[in-house]
Amino acid sequence: MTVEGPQPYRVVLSGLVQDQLRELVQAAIREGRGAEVVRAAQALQSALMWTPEVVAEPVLDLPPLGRVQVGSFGPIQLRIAVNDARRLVFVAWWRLLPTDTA
Amino acid sequence: MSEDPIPVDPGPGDAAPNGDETPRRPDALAKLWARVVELEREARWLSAKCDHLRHSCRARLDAVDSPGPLTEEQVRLVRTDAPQQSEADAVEELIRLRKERAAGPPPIPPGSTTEQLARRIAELELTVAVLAARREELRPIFLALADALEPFTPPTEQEIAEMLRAADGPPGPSILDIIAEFEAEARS
Repeated sequence: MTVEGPQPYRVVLSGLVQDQLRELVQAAIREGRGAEVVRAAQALQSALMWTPEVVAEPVLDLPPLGRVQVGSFGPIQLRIAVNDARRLVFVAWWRLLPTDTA
Repeated sequence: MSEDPIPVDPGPGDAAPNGDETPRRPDALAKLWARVVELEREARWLSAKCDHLRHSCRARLDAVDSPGPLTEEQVRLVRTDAPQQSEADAVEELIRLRKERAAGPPPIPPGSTTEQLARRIAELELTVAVLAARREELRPIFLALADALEPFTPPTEQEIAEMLRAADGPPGPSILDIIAEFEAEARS
């Protein structure tokens, strides 16, 4: 019998969000924290694809986007929205914590 | 009389004629085993979720002027309730768990009895209740700290429109693609 595996979320970054991520990485590099943020962003990508409910807490229902959640991974704080079909994750803003305390 | 707290269909043929209450019907054991597996996975999920919240709360408490928006009791909880695994390990565990759930329960261990499984279920229900309560304690702490660092605002109309447009459009760059841009830049 073939067992169907879990399907990953399709993580969508709008143009605005892409720019915000680039700014975040640039700021981290300027602060000498590029490697730390790159590591966190790589792990975050995996978490968002496979288990976004773990890195975020729901704060608002917002149809048609689904639930808006505040999430965090390491030094990165973000706001995401998951659509009802659990297929898309939107990352809407990013914030870098001032120090590597994670 | 069975002390099994789990409602199992006591249909004919469930118990052996000698009074041994180990069910002969494989579906009765299978039901109990499925519950054990479900509870074990729920406990692992909650444990990893709590660890992620613990890491998030500690990092954010260090980033605000303590106690920030928290009560003294909440600060004490964040400081004393140490994570049991790293944030990355917690996420890895949950990714593994999601794949295990999709594959269904593993085979019932040979020699399992109703009593053993019922005992295990009772233990796991307690564990799950404790972990769920801890999660409920940590959740508002995380949200208060996150809000202190970056006050929550709902997405604007413009953000929503752009997000929906992006979702309907062709796949854009991923987080990893954007990271790779910087790595390529660093190499050149």
